[in-house]
Amino acid sequence: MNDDRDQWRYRIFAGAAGLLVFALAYVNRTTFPFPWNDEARFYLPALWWAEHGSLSPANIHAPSGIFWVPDGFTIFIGLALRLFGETMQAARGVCECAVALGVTLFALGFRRLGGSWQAGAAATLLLLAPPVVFAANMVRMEAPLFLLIAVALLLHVHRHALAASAVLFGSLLFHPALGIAAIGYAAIVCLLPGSLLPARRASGRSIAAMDWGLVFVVALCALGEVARIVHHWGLFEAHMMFQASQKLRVPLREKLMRPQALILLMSFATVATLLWRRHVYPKLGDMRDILPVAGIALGILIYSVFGDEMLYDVYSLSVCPALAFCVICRDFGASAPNRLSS
Amino acid sequence: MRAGPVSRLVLFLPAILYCAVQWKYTATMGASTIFSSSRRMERADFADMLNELSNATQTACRANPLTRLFFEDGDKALPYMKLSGDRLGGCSTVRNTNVTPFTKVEMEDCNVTFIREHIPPDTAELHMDNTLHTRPWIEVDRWFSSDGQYGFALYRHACLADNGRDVTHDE
Repeated sequence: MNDDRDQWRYRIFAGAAGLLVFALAYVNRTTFPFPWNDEARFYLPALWWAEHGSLSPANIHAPSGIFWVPDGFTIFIGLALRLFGETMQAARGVCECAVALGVTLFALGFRRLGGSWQAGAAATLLLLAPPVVFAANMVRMEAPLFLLIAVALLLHVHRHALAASAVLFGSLLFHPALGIAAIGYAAIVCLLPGSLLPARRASGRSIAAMDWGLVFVVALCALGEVARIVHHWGLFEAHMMFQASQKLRVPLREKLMRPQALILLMSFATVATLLWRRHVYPKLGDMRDILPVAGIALGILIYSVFGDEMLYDVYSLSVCPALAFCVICRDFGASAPNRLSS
Repeated sequence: MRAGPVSRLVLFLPAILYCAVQWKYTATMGASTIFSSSRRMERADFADMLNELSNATQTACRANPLTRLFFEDGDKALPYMKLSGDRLGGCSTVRNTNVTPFTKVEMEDCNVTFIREHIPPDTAELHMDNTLHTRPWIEVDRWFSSDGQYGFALYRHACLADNGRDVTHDE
């Protein structure tokens, strides 16, 4: 009875955390951050798609299509514009809702991963911060990606590693930020025996079907994107060359002399400590629960540090520290061992 | 390895500390500050700018229905302007990007009106300084908010600019 009540209280907390982030974002609309040109670069193609159903947005002078980012975000926002009206406010509202929902799902995932409400709530606190509000207030890919990381975490803690991998790889249809995380997660899950097995439940068959269904949908969308790229290979090469030149503009040394790089270093140290503790105390619990999450956090951090943009602060300063913090809580006695399997 | 309630509560200390550090050091990101005291005024200035820009582009379109409105890559206002319907009198609106710039031929079309905006955190002066284009550009309209933070200017090639409309009015 108490467990049920605690669970409901925690769900209310998780919902309230999401609502708080939505409120913070709403109050600071167009002033944190100011309207900026990136929004136009991503909003206008979506508007074109909503109006013409075409991925060749002439309104940003790209009648042959844009290939410096995948088309997932264009279609995501385009669908929102079709549903809620073709205005910037609708697009921004959808991004705010995506981040708010993401915070709620993170909170639920953190509780299960951390093994106690205290661990979950403490890790969620790390998300109630300006970088998350900043991400919510931009019409950019960070908002849906934030939600996808939360969904992947939730799938992972419910032992749907295959579906979580599919979600992480599916995020590449929006932006490459989670690419290293997806590869890291998939590699760790494949290397740790038994990680791909779904939870044993009465409806086990439908769970497996959901996993494979997600894999199928992501594979189908990826195939479509690849076909489009192959069809416009010359343009893709040109746009990618431009992107690469932009990313390589800042010297590596400069990128590593920032607090984000320190967080990356600390996260590596955390993972090394986790592995060492498992070696010294083999009874500490299952690596299947925490190591894949550590892989996600490290993968995102590596991209954020080397991508070196203020936009990625939501990952490097909020999401990844929260994931790492939750893993530490789990490992250092805040929970019962092997909680996810129960 | 199980922890008691006290050690569980100790978890909150580093979390609260890190949260506080985040609020202290990331409350200002780039040029924008969360809960900035001037945010209401900034929002009003931006709304004024959109309104003025909308009026200016409509005026340009009425004067020449063949006008092509070119927005540069620094443009931030276009997504907020109502583009559908008849607001721009049938004029076409195009915005370039770093990856898909306007060509010299496109820029030197006599029907082009080029729009340059000034929105925080822009610090550059609002003037036409693109040396790629040889023909002289004439400023046909200009607006600035009272604090000078928000503004825009419309430019046209000398080939079509109407001297009668070649008026600059700062507010």
